[in-house]
Amino acid sequence: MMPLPKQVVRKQVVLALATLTLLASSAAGAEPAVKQPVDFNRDIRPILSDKCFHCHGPDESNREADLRLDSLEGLTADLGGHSAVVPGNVKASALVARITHADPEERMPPADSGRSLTPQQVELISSWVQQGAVWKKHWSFISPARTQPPKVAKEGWAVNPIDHFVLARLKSKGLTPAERADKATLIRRVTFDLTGLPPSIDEIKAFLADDSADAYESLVDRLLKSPRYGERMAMQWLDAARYADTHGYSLDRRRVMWPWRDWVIMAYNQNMPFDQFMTEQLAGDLLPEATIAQRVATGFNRNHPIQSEGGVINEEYRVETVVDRVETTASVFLGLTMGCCRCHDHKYEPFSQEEFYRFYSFFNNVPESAHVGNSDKATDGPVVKAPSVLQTSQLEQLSKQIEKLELEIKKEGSSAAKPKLIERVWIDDEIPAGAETIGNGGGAQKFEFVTKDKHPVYSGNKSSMRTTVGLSQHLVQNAKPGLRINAVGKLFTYVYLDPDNPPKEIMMQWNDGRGWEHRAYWGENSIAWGVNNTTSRRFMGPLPKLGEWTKLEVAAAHVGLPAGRVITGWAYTQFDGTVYWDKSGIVDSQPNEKEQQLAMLREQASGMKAGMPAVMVMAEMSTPRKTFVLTRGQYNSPSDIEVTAGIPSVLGSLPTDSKPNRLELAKWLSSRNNPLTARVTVNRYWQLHFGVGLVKTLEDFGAQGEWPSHPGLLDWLASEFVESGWDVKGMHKLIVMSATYRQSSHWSAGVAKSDPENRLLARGPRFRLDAEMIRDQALFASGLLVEQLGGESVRPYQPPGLWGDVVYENAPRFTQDHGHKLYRRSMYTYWKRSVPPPNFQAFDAPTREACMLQRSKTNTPLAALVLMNDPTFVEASRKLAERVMKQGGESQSDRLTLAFRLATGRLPNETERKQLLAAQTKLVAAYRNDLTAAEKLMGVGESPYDRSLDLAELAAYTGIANALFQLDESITRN
Amino acid sequence: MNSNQHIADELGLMTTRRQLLGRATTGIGSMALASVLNENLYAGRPDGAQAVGGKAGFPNFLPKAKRVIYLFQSGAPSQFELLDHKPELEARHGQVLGPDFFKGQRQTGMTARQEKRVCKSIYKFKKHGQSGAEISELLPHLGKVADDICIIRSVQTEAINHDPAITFFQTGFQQAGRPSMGAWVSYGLGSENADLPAYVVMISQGSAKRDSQALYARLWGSGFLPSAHQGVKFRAIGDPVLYLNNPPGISSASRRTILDLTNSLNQAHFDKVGDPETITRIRQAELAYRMQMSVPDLVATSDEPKHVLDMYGDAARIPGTFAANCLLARRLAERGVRFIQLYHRGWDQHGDVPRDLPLQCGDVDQPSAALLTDLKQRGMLDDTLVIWGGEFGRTVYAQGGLNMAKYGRDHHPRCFSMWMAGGGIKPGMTYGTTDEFGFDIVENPVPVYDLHATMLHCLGIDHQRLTHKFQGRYYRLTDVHGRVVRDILR
Repeated sequence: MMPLPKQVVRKQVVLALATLTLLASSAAGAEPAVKQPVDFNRDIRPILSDKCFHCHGPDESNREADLRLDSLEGLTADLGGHSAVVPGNVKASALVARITHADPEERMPPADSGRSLTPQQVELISSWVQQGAVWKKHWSFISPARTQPPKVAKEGWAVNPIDHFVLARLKSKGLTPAERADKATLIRRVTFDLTGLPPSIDEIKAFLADDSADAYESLVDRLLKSPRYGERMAMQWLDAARYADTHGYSLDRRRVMWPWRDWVIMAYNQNMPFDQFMTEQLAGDLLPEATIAQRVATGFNRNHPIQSEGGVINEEYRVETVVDRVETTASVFLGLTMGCCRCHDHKYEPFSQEEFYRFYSFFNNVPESAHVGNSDKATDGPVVKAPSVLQTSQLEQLSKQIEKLELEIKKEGSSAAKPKLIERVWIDDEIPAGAETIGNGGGAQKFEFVTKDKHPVYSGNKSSMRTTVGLSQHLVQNAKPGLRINAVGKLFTYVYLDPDNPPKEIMMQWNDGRGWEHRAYWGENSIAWGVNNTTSRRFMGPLPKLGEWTKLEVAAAHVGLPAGRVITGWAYTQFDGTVYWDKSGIVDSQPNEKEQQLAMLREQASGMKAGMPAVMVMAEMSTPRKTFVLTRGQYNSPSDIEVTAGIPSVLGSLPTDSKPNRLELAKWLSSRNNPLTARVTVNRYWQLHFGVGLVKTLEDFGAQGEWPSHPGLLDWLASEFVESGWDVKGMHKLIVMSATYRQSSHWSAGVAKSDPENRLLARGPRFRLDAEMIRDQALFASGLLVEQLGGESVRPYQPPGLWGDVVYENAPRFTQDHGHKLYRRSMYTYWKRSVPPPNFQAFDAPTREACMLQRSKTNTPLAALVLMNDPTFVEASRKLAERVMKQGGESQSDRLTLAFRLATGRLPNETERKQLLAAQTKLVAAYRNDLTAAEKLMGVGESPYDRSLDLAELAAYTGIANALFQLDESITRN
Repeated sequence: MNSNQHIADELGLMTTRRQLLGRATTGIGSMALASVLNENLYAGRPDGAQAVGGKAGFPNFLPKAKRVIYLFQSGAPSQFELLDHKPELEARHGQVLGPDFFKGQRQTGMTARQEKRVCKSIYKFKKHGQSGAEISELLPHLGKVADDICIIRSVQTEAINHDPAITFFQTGFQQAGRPSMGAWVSYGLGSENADLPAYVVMISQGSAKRDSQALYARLWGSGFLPSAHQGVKFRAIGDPVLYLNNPPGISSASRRTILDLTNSLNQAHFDKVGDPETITRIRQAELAYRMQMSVPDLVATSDEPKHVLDMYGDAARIPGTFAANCLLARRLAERGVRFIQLYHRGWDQHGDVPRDLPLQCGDVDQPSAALLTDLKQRGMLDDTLVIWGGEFGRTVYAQGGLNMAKYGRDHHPRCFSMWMAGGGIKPGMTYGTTDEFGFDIVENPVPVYDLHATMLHCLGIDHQRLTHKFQGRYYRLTDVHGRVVRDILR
């Protein structure tokens, strides 16, 4: 808006008056005048923000005419004898004058801005001025008040306070809630919402049969305890945290972040309080004595894409990475669009560019290069070797057991302290378990046993023998489990040197799984291996007496084999001559049972740790990186304005007595001083159960975000959430227990028309399932689903060549998994960012390149094709067919009933049953005539089919199941 | 279709549809259904065309182009060897360029530290047609249609590496997350053909295989727009559209039986529950079924006359080649697909221009020219905008040594060449001038934003009005930039 010269203003006021009169007269006609009190935040701010802030808002550089409409000071500032707003005085308010100006050239907003006001908006603004122009801070920046649920009639309907808020709003619109959903619908709805899977038939039956008053509540409690709950909640979180299995840019190679994904599942299942859930993900590494799990949690802010293109400038991408962290953190935990002020002051929110870089500074201190190498194991920046969920609990258990045993052994005294020596023979007439034998050098190319009828033998019936000129040996190797050396270990063997053909030197060598560098020799120093006078070559003395058996003994430690080592190979080596060897083994202290156990546990633990993947995590650099405001957001244009970490001042400030870092940020986010996080979080939970948030714009609680449909309810839930100690399961339970949630989702025509999005909640929520749930349901209903918590991502079926279309010539192509990996829950499907799973994409799954809080729910022919023809769904169809033929009773009708129930959770009515029967009859006839087709259909997917079943019928039921999986009712939670 | 957008329309239609279907009927025949499904939901557009979907008020004015065929050359073809003739380089060949020459221009890590020697083109240029457009001997067929195209020698971009540059070209932003241009057009204008997607993508592999840069789903993704607007890939491997064909053992007749069952059960469910989304579901399943019929027909180019196939070249008979895709593009255009995007890979000649560039030109020259001729012969060039080009240009200096048997060029964002044709673009024109080194623009720069704005303008869209509110902000393809290049409009 331009500054208004005085004389012009006067003229305009007159004009404005005329216009207002016009408005008033028209309002008296068809349109009722705005009589109800105008609420600035509900009614006025959204208009000002959307239509005016762009040029008259917080962004100083873009501000026109020095007029600022986003603050009370700006609105009422003296602009040279007049103000935009004079509270209570419409005539004197220049704002009203300009928006009602008769001359289109003068009228604001300018016609060519595309931001023109509707007559109703003009009227609202005028009424607001008239009513005193009460200005309030943006609603979401004020901490939620602990509101009291409104008193309502029909208290009997209400189950909990949620219903009071909903009922009050409905009543104000003259509406009543819908009837309660039937039980079959309800159990399917709540089971999907809390576990991401449908209920089993048995669970449905049990719930239908349970007439007790708390039947529903015990159902909810059971679901919240299921490990599937964690998987379901994690699904939503993975989109928010842009989790994927590849780096995203350029080569888009594999990365290992799945231990982070498993941490999320675990945290939900343990019902970790949300403030802790948030703190560990943002700053787990900064917690005192951070555990591996807490460090893995910080993978949240390492899930961003990482560049790998040759020739890029790393700093450019490092800046993008930090910006990504700011945007993701602000969207997920604050519902704010901070990214907008990277280049300039925010156009709509009271955040300056400088404040953006203050927030940026929290995440600008990671020792990373923002570039990742070209291998499937490449990582960038800090990592931890992280156990999987399964391994974590196993490791925890192991280390507890180890600690306990160590303590006990210490108390009781170890076996080494009071040794009780025992001889253990490893090689006598047999070679050790699992070992292979070799002979090499001169002499036989094998390990040769000879018998006592013709040769000298010391023990048993055989000895091993070798004749050679020069160097030769025979040996055993790769024995499993091998010979474990205990305390006071003394290796021994018996040897017989042929007096007619004596050797110059004999040697024994041991392999401890790491190599053969453990040697002892007798006689001349003719064999060149090892270094004299070290454990790799110990001189033991002259050759033993010829022509008689001699026991050779070597202290294991003397050849570098301390207690705990495991011998896997034993070599008998000689230079010239004929040598017989017999009975080899060890004399050592018999470890007590506890020591044996301890050794086994230690081995397990170290094996597990060695196999653990490296997960990228957050860490701070020892010398902090300085943060400067970047001019126009450009990585190479730092200004001279240096900033320290902090939060936007409109939200408050961090305590001044602490060093501002991510942990301080997390503490502030968890505090009651933060008006946003609890609201934003419960709103997301609400959306999960109702399809739409109380604030529809999940990602934007700022000035451009939507006014809540039930502001009181949102604030009540938010404060309830904090009061409960951020109890996540508790919040979900509260929501799904409400009568509002339990309403029937049928559309009653009248309300549907006035409220198609169901914002007033006069009926229950009904919306399409997410991609993952649609597939999981098919796997579950057909009996194919393989449930296994966590672990490496899997690669089920996908059409051929998809990776090859787009990846580099020498980059890896998709290789499909087999067996149980084809049937894991969809959240474990390998997510390649440049080629996301195509069947999920058809159902609106994102690429996971950036934070996504709400998926769209489209309805396209491509999605229909997936349900029709994706081998996943065709295979599930034929397995469901098999299942109903085996479990559905004898009659066709019963089998079809079961099929229908498996797909929809309810029994078909008579008409539906008839339709199913008719189609089945038609398909059976078709397949009887073409058994080859039936056979082919059974070949879709890798699971075998039951050949004892009637093939034509099986194929026909497969067709029916294929139809059922496509039903709107099946892919919708009703 | 986005459910929210559709709810209002659905509700408006519901009565009619119910009357048509008969409220009491529990099952409906496919014939009756098909006739219902064919009705056009959206009419009364400024251009008088029938379209399905699209934003109210779009197009904003009478469009010159109804559709776009974008022939994207992934990897960045060299302007020096193809469209921007620099005879001065002959004399300067081998001259070392000092740091001052580059005026702060950023270089990639591949050549930032090497000595930079001016490198001439080893290919000759000739003037073609009445317009006298200078085109390289590597593009003889393009030369023959020189009077139909407008060569722009002054395109400039902001990115210097492939991933950000191609993402910028396709979405108007260097980082992932924004909708692609095809998605924007689909969102704004909808489809002219209810049986086909509004936005189709086809990918071909260049003959210079080792120079292939990666592509990403985001390049044809819908970003924050409803995902119905994402590009649908037409493929030469497997099903032409993902999951199009029935599985082995399900005949078309069985599919019909199965679909009839689904539809009648869905209809009964709608009668009980009343959610219009269910009706949309029926319509989409029927559309899927129709695509099963129409798409194989569409991609089977064997019904093309021999002289047409010959015009596109021998490769047009091999599915998945650029030539075959060009021919398909014409068939898609005929059927009203709004935005057809081809990606041809393999243009990243850091080394061995003499070996690889002729291979790439061999892939695309004849079919690109044939496409123009074919469209023209059918009277479709006037309302089809064809765009040809890569994501940036290449350096005037050679990468590595100045060995003319194996020379290559690095990335150069400041200026490069593209061509446009048809759909409101002035034919027989060369626009924009670069300096004697082909380093900087002397006259008429065309930033990528302006190219986007011009493309949308040809489609009857004011680029400042095609917006979508997301995270509180009105986003558009051209962000806060963009200017229609009126000089090249006819």
